[in-house]
Amino acid sequence: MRARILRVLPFAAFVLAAGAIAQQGPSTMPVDQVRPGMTGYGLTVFRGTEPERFDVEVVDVLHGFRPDQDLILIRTPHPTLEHARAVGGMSGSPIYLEGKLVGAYAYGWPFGMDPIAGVTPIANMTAEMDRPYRPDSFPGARELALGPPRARSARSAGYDRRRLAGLPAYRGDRTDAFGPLRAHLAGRTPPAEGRMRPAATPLMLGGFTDRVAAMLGDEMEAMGWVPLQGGGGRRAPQVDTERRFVDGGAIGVQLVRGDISATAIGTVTHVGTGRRLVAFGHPMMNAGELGLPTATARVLHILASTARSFKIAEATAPLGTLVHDRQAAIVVDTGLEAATIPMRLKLNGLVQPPRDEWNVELASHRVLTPTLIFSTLANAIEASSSDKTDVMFTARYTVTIDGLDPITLEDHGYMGAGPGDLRALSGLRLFDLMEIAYGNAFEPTRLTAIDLELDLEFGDETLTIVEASVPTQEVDPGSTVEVRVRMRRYDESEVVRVIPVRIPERLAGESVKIELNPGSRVGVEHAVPRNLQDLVNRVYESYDATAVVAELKMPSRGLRFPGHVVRSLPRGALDALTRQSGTEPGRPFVTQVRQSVDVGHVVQGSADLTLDVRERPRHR
Amino acid sequence: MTFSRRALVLTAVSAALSATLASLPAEAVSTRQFRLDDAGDFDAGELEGAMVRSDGAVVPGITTTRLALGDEALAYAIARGPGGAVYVGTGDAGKIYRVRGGEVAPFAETGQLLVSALAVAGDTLYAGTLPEGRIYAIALGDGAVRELVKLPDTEHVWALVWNGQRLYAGTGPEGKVFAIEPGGAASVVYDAPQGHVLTLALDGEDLYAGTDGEALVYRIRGNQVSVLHDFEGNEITALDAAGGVVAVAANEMPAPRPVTSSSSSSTSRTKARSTGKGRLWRVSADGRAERLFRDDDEHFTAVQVVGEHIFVGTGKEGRIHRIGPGRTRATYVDVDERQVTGLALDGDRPVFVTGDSAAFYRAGQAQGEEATWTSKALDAGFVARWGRLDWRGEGPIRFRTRSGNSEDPNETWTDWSAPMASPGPVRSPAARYLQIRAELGAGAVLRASQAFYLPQNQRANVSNVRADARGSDPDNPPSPSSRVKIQWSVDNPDGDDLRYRLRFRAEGQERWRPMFDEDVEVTDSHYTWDTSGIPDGWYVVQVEASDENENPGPLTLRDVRASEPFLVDDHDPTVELTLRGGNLAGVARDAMGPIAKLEYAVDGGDWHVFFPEDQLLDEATERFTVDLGELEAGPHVVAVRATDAAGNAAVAEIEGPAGAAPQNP
Repeated sequence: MRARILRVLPFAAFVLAAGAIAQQGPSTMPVDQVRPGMTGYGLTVFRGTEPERFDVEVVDVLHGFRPDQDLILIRTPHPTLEHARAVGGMSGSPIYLEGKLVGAYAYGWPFGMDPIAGVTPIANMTAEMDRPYRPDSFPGARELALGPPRARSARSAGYDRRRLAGLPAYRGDRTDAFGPLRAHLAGRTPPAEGRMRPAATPLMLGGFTDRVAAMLGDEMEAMGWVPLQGGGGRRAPQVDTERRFVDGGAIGVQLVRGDISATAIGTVTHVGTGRRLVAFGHPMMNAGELGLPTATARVLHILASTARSFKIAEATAPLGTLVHDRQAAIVVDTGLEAATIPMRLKLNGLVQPPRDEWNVELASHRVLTPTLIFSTLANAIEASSSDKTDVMFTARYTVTIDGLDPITLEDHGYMGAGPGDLRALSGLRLFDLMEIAYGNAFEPTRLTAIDLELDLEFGDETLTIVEASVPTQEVDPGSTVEVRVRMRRYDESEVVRVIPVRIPERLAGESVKIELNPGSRVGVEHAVPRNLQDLVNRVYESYDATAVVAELKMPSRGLRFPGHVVRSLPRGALDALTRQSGTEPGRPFVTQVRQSVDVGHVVQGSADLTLDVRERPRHR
Repeated sequence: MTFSRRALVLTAVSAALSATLASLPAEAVSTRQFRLDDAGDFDAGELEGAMVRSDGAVVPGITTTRLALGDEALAYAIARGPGGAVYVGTGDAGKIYRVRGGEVAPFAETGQLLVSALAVAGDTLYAGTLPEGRIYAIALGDGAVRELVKLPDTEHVWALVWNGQRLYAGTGPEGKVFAIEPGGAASVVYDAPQGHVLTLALDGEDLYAGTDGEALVYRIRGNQVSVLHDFEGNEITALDAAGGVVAVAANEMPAPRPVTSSSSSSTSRTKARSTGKGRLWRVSADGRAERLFRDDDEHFTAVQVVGEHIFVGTGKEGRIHRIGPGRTRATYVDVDERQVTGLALDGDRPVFVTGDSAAFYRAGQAQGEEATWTSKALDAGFVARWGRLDWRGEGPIRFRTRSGNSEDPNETWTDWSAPMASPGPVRSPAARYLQIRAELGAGAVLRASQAFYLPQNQRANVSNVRADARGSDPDNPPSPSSRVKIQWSVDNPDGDDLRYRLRFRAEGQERWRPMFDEDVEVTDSHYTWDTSGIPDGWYVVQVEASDENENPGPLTLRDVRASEPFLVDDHDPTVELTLRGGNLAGVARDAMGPIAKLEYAVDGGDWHVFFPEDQLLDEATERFTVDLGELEAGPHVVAVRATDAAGNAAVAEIEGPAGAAPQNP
């Protein structure tokens, strides 16, 4: 049933789009005509969907606030704003002086004592409204007037930049759910204390548990977004203003929608005569062409707070795509339906959970999507089972990436503090696939669907490596040594598994160390990827968490080349293959001989032992 | 006419010169010469169609024609096919090229990293590869590639030989020799305890296999395996066998460098690394192993027996050496690439291939003046005027020279001079560096060459002139002495012999006086000066360095440097005493001062320190009174010793009345 609703929504958006472009633009006042003491009004939604006026008085104009952008300082002597001061979610509220649109309420000072706000001049915003976007920028998005999805075109520099989201291309190293977001945040400069900053954008979370909401808050607060518990936005539109955008009306940027939702709330500044509108008066991520889905929104309440005041709101009807995320405004194209990623999540192994299947649509963005997937996953688990006990999990998932066969993987893990202990889940190889889809350096592609089943099994079924031993410490070169691995299992007798490890003859006379590790901890040497498929192959080339891997470090080196890994090179050949006349020589690594055994349970712990290899076999 | 295009990369020239060529004082004290007269001297230069023999002669050798092999990084294997075709196995894309005449064309692709071994059998080319241990059979007619076998437990196929019936493969990393039937069935002929069988050679019924880890050569005859020889080093990189003679390239390769995160991820160009040491051996039919040639600067990468000669390719400088009967050696070829990786120098069309980067070379006999030898840039140390260029040899030889002031010859150097058919003055202008080139005609033999030069004289610089006088330390007066050690530093850029003259003057005077006579020749940078003949006072000394012993008068250069003023105080203070009752009074005086210490002793007893009247030892004249206390009745002798800051001391005595009553001060 849920999936059906989701399928209907885009159609509804198409119908609503026609009504979205209803307003003619008012006359505007350029910033050089603004004088201190001028009075006027602003429009914003205090409750519901109808914008209401609030009085404003110009304090002064701050020139050169941003490159080519001034800032009008206003006082807002409104009964609500007098004590709420700068309100998150009001960003974009149009401000009128002498009946002319002068700009958008956009900036405030943290901990300001007065209801003073900064207004982004309307000229800067309307300049963005007319800005074209590159034709390749929104693969998968649908022109509502035309119907079929936008074709994925050939490579273009513009496309690549949007896809990489300002991060380096993905080279195949392991990542996790928060890797791209944290890399993105690491490159941001936090605003200095006392600097005027954009009014915080409330990120209304619907259907999230407190813990996951807090986690999301921790991760996203540095973006200027403040997660707040809100509604799920599943209420059908009741009135006309819930189906279309109006000047001063609420607008949501939908990062997740469906069984849970995450919507960034702001205010529409002005709906243009075409199919575009401008909002926010400041950037959302300052990411340029962005392609996130947008929606109309309904305000439930303005929450006044000494720290930060916010609108509490929820999305009402999906409509349009955020096409430009710029310094002065976000620009929404109401005739374009953003491509989203449908994700189905099925939980197995829980007894009568309130819900065992979750369907969501995720905004598609390299930085945001992995964190949103993880949040969805974490939220579903915690909402279904808050037990604080050991849980084993098996994640089976299929990821569909344009241009590749569907990729199906299975990961195993252990959550020591119950389903809420989510760290293990953040390391799913699913997140490597996300980076491949968005950040690969080879060809444009797109993540189109995720289907994930998570089997949960209560109890500690892990095996912890306690000890490794061999019959004798002195071994023959060329012999096979039986490494006895003793593992402890909770409330069960110990398990002993034998891993036969062949001692290469070339180790004669050497002292060698054998390390025993869980497969999840073993890093495999991969070929330097040459194409998209090579990157995907790297994801497959790994040991399962249920494997015990014996690693024997060899004195020889290997080299990684594009498409090939060559191990155990003799010194002369190593020298020959390490070219000095090129710029991409083979990349050296220490050769490891590995032998693994699957023990059927997630393995933890590690052990090592040292063997002395005889110069010559005793009986040879 | 084709030449090698090797760039003249010259490093550490001045350091190398001392080891590779003579730069000796000649008859005139300032004239020097570059003398190049042995194989090491000539090997340091560049060869184009010439070769350097181990007896120190340069003779016309071969010229080379280079053919590029696409964009490949290295060529690693070479095999002759029918119809004059030569096949070359390459990496890093696992391709095989065919060279026919002057035409190079891609022939087959294996999809592997490297085609590491090739063997031709009838109309089939066999290609061994890595890193998956696969061998491919490729039809010579159309280049159709078929996987013959993937060898078990094998990642590397290092060598292939065909014995007329089956293929043998030397492999790694398990050190196995496989026999492979034409249908692809593989069996292990020998499983060596070493990790890799890197090279194979067939001679009659004997199959020879060289290994890494331990530099062993095995002889495999049917089912019998024996060690032919255990060589010094850790790797048999190449071997060849013919007529009962086995030629072996045994190397001592350095341990690989540690792997760091930067080295494992870096894509920047790496610097040249130190490679191994190479040894070339010949094992006779009777099993006697004889070392033919050693090179501690580079290892050997390929070897081939051609008639009575053995050729060996090198892994750092891209050379081929030819070793003839009597262990005579010649540097046969010198190419731009770093490594010579495969040799096929037999027959009338000798060829070879290289790695880093990949190239195919044809070799041909040098004709006429195609043969040249060019010295490295010879460093005179300073700008020099060139003298005569002389040489010793036979046959048609012409010389050219050029000069410049940069270590690497570049566009700032002069052009090559007109050829000199007979010895004479160098025609290149004065400069710091000189390069000479010999053009060898047919039958020419160059045995030695020398170039004279006069480097511009360089002034020695004297600095840090210091006098190790006794000093003046009131707290710790030094032992008295009248000898002052004068020391100085000198920077002598051209190493001329220097003599020093020292002068002194009292501070405040202007005229310098010589410290010693002109016939005293001081050549060390220190001198001990006896100051007993001069008054106490503050003095300055001056050191003059002169290179007159090495340069005639007009060219002599001098440098002069003076010291800081220092104190000469060789004279004792004086002491005057009076004694009234038990009260001793007096005055101590010194010419330079200050008085550093006052002591008294009664009747030859212990010395007791006392202070002057003002309690401060800070002046050249100090008055004092001492209450001697209660003395026994009878006459007493009281002595006072005064010591100045330079350590000079004087003692005065006075005899007083007996039984003086004690008094309080």
